[in-house]
Amino acid sequence: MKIKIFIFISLFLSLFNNFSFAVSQTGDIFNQGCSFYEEGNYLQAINAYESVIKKGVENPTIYYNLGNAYFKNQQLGKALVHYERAFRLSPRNEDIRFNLTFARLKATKEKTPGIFKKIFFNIYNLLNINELTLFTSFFYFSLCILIAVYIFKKKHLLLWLMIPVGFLIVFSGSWLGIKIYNEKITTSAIVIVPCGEVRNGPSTDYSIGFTLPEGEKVIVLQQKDSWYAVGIKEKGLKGWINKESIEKI
Amino acid sequence: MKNILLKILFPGLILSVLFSLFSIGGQTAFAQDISLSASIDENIISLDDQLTLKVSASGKTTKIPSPTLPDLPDFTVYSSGRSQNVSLINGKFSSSVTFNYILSPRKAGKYTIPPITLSHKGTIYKTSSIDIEVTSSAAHYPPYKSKPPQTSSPREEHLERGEDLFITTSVDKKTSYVNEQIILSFKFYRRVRLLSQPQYSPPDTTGFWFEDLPPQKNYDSMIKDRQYTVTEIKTALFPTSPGKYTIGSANLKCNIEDFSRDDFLGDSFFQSFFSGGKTKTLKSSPIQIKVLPLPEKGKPENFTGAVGKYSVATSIDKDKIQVNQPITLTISISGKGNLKTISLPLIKNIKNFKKYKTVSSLNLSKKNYTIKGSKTFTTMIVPQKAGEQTISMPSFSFFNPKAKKYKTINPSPIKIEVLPASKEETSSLSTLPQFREGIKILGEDIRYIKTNINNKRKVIFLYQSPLLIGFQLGAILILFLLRQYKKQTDRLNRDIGYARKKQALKTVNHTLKKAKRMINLQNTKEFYSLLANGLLSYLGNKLNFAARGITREELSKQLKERNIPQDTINQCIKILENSDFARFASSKFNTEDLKNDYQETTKIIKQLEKLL
Repeated sequence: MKIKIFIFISLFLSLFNNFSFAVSQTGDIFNQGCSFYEEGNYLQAINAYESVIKKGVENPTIYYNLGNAYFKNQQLGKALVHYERAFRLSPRNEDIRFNLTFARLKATKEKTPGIFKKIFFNIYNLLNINELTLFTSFFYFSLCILIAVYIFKKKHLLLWLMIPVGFLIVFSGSWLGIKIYNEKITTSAIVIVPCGEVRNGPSTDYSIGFTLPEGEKVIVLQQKDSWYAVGIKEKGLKGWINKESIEKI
Repeated sequence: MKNILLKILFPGLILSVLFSLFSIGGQTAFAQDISLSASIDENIISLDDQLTLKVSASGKTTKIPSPTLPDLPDFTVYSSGRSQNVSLINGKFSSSVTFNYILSPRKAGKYTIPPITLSHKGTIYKTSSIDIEVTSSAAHYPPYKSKPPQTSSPREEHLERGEDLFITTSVDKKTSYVNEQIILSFKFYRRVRLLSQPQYSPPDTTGFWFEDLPPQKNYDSMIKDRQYTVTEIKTALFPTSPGKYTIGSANLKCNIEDFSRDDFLGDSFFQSFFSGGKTKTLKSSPIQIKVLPLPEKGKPENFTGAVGKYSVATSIDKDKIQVNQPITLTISISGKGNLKTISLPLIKNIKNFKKYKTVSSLNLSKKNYTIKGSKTFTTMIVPQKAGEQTISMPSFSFFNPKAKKYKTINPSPIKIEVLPASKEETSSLSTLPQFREGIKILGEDIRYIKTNINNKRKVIFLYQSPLLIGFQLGAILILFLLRQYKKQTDRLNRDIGYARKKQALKTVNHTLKKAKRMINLQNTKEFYSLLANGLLSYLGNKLNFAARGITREELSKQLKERNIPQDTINQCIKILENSDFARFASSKFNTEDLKNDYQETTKIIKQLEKLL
């Protein structure tokens, strides 16, 4: 009986007040985020996408959409953080690449890189960590099979085959190693406030050494209380920034 | 749980119902705030007079629509504007609008204006009906006797009646071809002073293109010994299609001095002085026009409807040009007629030239009340091939209504010398940004979001996966084991002694198993035969010598050489002797003896296994 009353009331409410019950499915929240985005309600879209991520979803699409919503909401730093995350997971996706480059250009006002840098960038970002792991593993197992066959059949051809396979292992392995080092061991972060003040020590007592524009990428070197030691390799700069001013990728 | 939900939801339900009730109530309250009323200035008027109908609407809204007047067949109705007053009091808008209409009666009699309606937000508001009495002019205004009732009539009638004020409309021809110019003249004759600028509403000219013909002419004219001031307005009309058309009546509303009441010091003097005299509405008679279709006979193929008298001039800005350099081709049509409707002469794709969009410009002159002028079509062309090129010009046809004939003009073709491009010129095709039909980037923005999400799981990094690492380490282990196995098999194949030694235990265990079965079968001979053979071949395999037919002495010597203890040697000899007894001397052995010997043998083998 109580259930019937409950159903009746909920139907009644939904008829008169467009009352909608909280959607629990991540897919529904995602779709809601998309419709908020379409309406131009970017703040609501951000909320929806963030809650999808909180529910344990992690994929390039959600990061890409969240980046777009932040971009439209004029939060360039946050947008870049999410584009970077999306890009690491799906480095060949055209849209992610385009928006990341577009936002980066807007943030840093840097000129488009030279042709060689561009080619290198494209090759380096051809495969993500998992794909490189698979490639390296494949070559490794191929070499193992070649060795196993060689144990029983001492053919010179097998030895000759081992050379290119071994080279491929070294190549993809070092590529993978560099990627893991850059993306997993080194912690990169992006400035998410309009003007990030970098001080000469981990407290406001120290003087400001330099400022960073929103969207600038830094490397996090160490942490002390609510301060991060950050550095920019190309410019040889190093200092301490408040935790709130940057977000790790 | 359900109770809690009910407790939470029930107030919400009540609130929602209350809110919806309030919102409906609010809407009705707003809707009722419009009030509509209608009034007239006089209830009794004469036939040549007119009355003002005022419809007032006011409400708490900024947008009040126009009211709908009912059909009034006995009156001519003109709208004379509206006045609006919007005020903002306590943050709420309220406005009142008054719509003014002038009604001039057509016949004497008693009439009723039915309720006037106004529809706003789905509600229809009505005024009450109004009664009017229209008297013949004499009855109401005796001094007006000298002025006959005003009806639409030609000029002569007005003159005969000796009116001081009248209007006429006339045309220069009542029969014309489609798109041929007709001049409509409107004339306003007056002998009295006007108190304000008269309001002219031009006649209805549906079915015609029209073009104003300024200037307005003012002159004096003597008609039947009476001097009139005449204002003349001319309009050019061009019929759009054949048939019979009516040019409607023109109307003129003017304010004149009112001398009809001669009680100089009476109220009416001041009334006329302050109210600005008397308003009169004048009307002209409609005119019938017959529009003839253009003859089908001799109609050229490229005829597009141009009527009048035209000439065509063509020109190019350069006659010597390099490949890929633009040239401007100009075709100018000038003459008398409705130039606005002249369409672009068809320029076919010119061989060896790239053609861009044509732009037209119009230059009109209205001197002597005739539409004259020129329409110029400018086309950008770019030669694609060097050499002497000829551009043939499109022909243009029109109908001359005076000669009642079609005429086609064929402009002579133009020759252009196209020079080959220098190297920079060839590449400069792409440097014509205003003509290039390519991709244009107008504004860059980020790309749109992705609307479907396929994978909802968290990303797992394979390089951290214990399974993959396990497989990789396992592969190394397997390789190591394979290598060991290969080594072993290789040695077994190469070294017979080693192979025999490795197989010794396996063989003897097999034989001993068989012997054990013989104990159960009480087959003493077979048991000892197996036992002796097993032991001997084991020793032979282990020490790599021929076991069969070896003497006891030889055996003890061999074993001694390998540093086997004397005890073990003796035990071996004993087992072998026992078996010889059993096989050849048919001595009696019971089951216990067999079991003892069996255990003894296994013990010996165990000991030897440790030593050898």
